[in-house]
Amino acid sequence: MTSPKVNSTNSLYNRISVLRAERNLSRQDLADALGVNYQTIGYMERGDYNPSLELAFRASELFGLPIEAIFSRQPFRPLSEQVYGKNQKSE
Amino acid sequence: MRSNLLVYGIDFRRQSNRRLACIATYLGYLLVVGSLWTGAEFKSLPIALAALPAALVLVTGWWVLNEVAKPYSGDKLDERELQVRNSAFFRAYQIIAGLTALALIYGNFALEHPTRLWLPSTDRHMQTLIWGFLLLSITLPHAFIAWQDPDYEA
Repeated sequence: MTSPKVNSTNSLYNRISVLRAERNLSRQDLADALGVNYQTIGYMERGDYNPSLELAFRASELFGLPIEAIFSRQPFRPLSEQVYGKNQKSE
Repeated sequence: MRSNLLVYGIDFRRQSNRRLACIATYLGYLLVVGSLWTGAEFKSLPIALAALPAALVLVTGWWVLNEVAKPYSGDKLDERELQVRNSAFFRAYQIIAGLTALALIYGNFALEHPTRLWLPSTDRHMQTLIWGFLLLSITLPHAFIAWQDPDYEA
C-alpha cells in the first residue's frame, strides 16, 4: 500500500494578492480588516510568512471562501487556466 | 513607509544593507572594546584616539539597529511581529547565557589556578568587560531582527 504524497516543506501557497486585487483592497485595508500590520500582508503574499490557523480562518471569513480556496500546500494553478479549462470541458 | 531607514543615502530597508550594518556595528564594537582594553593595558593616548572612529561606527550602527527594531517594541504587535521579536530575543538570550556560563566557568578555574590563568586585575579591565557585555546584550536582539527581516517595501 502506498502512502499519499505529502509536501514535507514548510511552504504554504496563497491567493491573497489575487483576492485582494479582485476586491480593490489595499494592503492597509486588508491589514486593518484582519487586525495585522500591513507589512504582514506583504510577507504573506510573498510567501515569507505562514499565517496561524486563526489568521487563516479570519481571512477565510473575510473573503467568504473556504480556507483551501485561499491557502494550499501545493502551488495554485492560475485562475484563468482553471476557469478556461472548465469552460473547455463543458463545451 | 519606513523612510526613516534612509541614512547617509544608504537604504536600510534592504536586507543586504542591514546585514552590512550589523557587521559594521560589531566590527566597531570589537575595535572599541579592544581599544579600551589595550588603552588600559598600555595607557596609550593614540590607541584611545583610534577608538573614536570605531565608536562613531558603533553608535551609528546601534542607531540603525534601534530604528529597524522599533516597530517590534510596541505592545500591539500582530502574530508575525511577536514571532520575530520572540525569536530574536530567544537567540540573543542563548548567546548571552552561553557567554555568561563560559565566563563563570573560566572564572572559577582561574580563581583556583591564579598563577596559570589570567584574571582581570585593574578597574579598567573590569570596566571594559562590563561595558563589552552590556553593549552586546543591548544590541544583540536588535541585530538579529535586522539580520533576519526580509526587504521592507518602499
